[in-house]
Amino acid sequence: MSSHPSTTEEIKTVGDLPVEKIDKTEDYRIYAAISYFVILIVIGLPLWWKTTEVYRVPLPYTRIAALNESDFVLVTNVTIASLDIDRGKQLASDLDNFFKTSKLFKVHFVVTQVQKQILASAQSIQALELSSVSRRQAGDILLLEVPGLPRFTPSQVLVGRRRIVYFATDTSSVKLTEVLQQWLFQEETLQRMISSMVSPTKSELDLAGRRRMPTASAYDVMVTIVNPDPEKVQLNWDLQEAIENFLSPFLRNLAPLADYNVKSQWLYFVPLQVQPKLVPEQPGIRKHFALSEELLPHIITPLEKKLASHVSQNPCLNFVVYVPPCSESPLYIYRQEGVILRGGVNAFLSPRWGGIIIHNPPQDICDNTTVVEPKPVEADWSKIMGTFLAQLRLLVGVPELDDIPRVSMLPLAASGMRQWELDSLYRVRIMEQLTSAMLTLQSLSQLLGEISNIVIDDEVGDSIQEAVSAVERGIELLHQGNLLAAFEASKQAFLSAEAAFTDPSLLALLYFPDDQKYAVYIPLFLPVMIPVLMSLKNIYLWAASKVRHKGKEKVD
Amino acid sequence: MRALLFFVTIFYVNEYVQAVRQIPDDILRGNHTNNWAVLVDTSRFWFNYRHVANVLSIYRSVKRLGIPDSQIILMVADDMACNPRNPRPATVFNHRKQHINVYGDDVEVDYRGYEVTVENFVRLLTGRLFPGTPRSKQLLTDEGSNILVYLTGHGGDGFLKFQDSEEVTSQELADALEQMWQKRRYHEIFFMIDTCQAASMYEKFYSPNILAVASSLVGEDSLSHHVDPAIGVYIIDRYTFHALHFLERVSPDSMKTMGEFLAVCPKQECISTVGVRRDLFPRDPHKVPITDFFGSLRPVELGINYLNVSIALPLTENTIRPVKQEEKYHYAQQFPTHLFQTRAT
Repeated sequence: MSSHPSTTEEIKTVGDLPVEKIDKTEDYRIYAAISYFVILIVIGLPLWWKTTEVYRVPLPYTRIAALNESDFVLVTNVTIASLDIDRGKQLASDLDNFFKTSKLFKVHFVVTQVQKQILASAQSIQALELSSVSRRQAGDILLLEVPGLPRFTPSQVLVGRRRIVYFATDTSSVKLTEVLQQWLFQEETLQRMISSMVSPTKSELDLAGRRRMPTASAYDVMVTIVNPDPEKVQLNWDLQEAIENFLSPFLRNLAPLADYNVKSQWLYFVPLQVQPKLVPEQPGIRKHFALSEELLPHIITPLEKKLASHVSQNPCLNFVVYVPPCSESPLYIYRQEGVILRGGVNAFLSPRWGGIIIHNPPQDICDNTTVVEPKPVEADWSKIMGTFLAQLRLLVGVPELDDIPRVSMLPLAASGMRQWELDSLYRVRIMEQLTSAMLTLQSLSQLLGEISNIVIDDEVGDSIQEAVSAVERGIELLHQGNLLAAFEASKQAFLSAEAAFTDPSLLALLYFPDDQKYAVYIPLFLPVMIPVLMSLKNIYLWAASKVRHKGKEKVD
Repeated sequence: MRALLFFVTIFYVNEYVQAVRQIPDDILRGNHTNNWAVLVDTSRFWFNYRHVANVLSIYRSVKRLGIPDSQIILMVADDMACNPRNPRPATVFNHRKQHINVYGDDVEVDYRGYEVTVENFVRLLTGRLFPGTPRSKQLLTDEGSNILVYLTGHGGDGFLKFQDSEEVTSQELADALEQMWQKRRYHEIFFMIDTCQAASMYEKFYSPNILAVASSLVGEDSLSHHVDPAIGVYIIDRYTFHALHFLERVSPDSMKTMGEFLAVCPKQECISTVGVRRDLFPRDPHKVPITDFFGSLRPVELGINYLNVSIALPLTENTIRPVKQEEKYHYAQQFPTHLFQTRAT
């Protein structure tokens, strides 16, 4: 049925319908196909992709990779104060030539002239330390020439308690280099620690590092007194007071580095669980008991079960005093070669665990039969606490230094720590924390980059950002030579990196791996998509014919 | 009598005078600082009694040789000792003649029953536990820790079945160990697995310092040892039975090496072939003492000089200790009628 033509033009007909109407129908069909295409593929496909995406906070991958390239350089200022300015300049240039080759340290040397009157008027080195010299920033050293040094000490170089090194006029620059390199900067320790962290399978054993407690923000110090037979030995010791007098000043020095919680306990009826050998009376040697070196680990193992040192999650330093009864005393520790331990201290240390002291009751009380059991034993606190402090220093990370000929140190003060030792400790902890944070971040970025299915939520993203910024800040502060602020930054970096790595959410893989995603969606959508895609061909042909048609019309 | 005393004295002096046993330096100065153990049993149901007996046998040996409970993570998926079908309650034996009660009276199970899941196991290894997890459920190792990992249960080619409902694949395990290595959470790992086709579990490992032993190779089944007619179930697996037999003769100061332990179950005893993976382990197992993994011998250093410390002034004379107010406690009222009393008019 033909309809009335709306125009006065001639209408061609094909069959029933006019040609124009056929074209229009074809056009409408093509328009429908185009709209399907637009909705399904141009809008729908990206929408589907976006909505099935895993929530991942963008991470600073390039910044983390860049951390690998950056080297940690410790900047320190060394002031050389000498009587003769030229001599000072000569020393400075010699030392500078040596330290130019150092990988970790960048040392700036400043030369000043010292006043002779101050040096001459000093009665002793201690007076000199306390008097004139101004405070130095953490990490800096002053090399002070003291012409009258032979008055006080036979050594050529004397390292003080503060950040000052006194040297005699005839000291060579080689000797000063040795002192700076081995004692004050301890570059080898730092180097070894970094290499053992970065490539542990290739580096050799780092003994000092193995002994040093791992980095943590808080430690527990547990002092235990073990009395295996309280019916025979009575200990009326005021442990709290002794800790307050001896340990607390030392731990206050370390307060900026970490929190130290001191606990104490008493254990009764806990025997040694090893059998020491009885050494009978010999001319010149009293009867005593010998504890050989290889039995010592077997003391720690059963004792650990009773110590309750695992109550908190902080690493614990255990210090144990064992008081044997008179029937088992005196108990001496023997070295492997069968030689008694010299130095008068029956104590041993276990790396990263703590130390044990064997405090024998005095012989006169034991021999005196008029004293009725339980026999009271007094504590020799200076010896006991002195040993604990020595062990604590080693465990905290202050290493024993090799002797350099003709170089000596001032003995320790009551606080138990020299300022430059504290500086080295800061440096070690800073490097350890920064290296650890860097390794953690790299491992995390590798993990999260490779597995595209893990959800990275805001918390983890924030922690990672914070850690990266803190590492960069730490490196910057090290360049400026500000040790204390660099330590804060490194601590922040370490804690943030740990928090990001051990976040519980990083385990939950959305059970949505790629092959499963396609396996679910393809059977649903592919049958729909096929006609749409096939109609692309028709659309293209129609569009091409339209263009040709338009062209023809124009020509006509 | 006096002659006897004389001889005894001579004997003791002789003992002392002779050099003490020559122990090689490696044992005394081991590179690790502490020891941990992660012992996992993954099967439930009464007929898997032998898996619980396996893991408890290893737990008992490890504890006897010195690793404290605070450093052992024991995961047992089902309770056999208090199972209503156990005719001998509160005991788990690993031999029908009931020589040893491996349950003991001081067993400390950290993950029990339904807490033994793949997720918890991987969280434990990688350290991604929820905050607030008790310390006994955490693996707080550091870069000086030697860890013994023992898995037992039903397994197949490339997987280990947990709780009859899920499985952990060898790739997941390898990745978890690699995450541990990245964070330097272990020094060396000794990986023991007693399941069917156990060797497939260690084939995908790629982190260094791991020594692995499996009770059977791929394609073989690990077999159980014997049945207890009183209970009616198999009570121990062959490999663990012979391993336990070996460990029972080890004392904390033993000189036995890991090489001997790796050879512990020859084919005629075990019927399946014991597989060993040693390419990731740099040391020679014949030079590694068994206490490096099974016992806990901390290294020891001597020769510390004590510091001459003197207190500047006796602080306690000048400081006043704050007097602690004694808190008074009282019992709560049994019937809190004071809460309901209306105001008396």
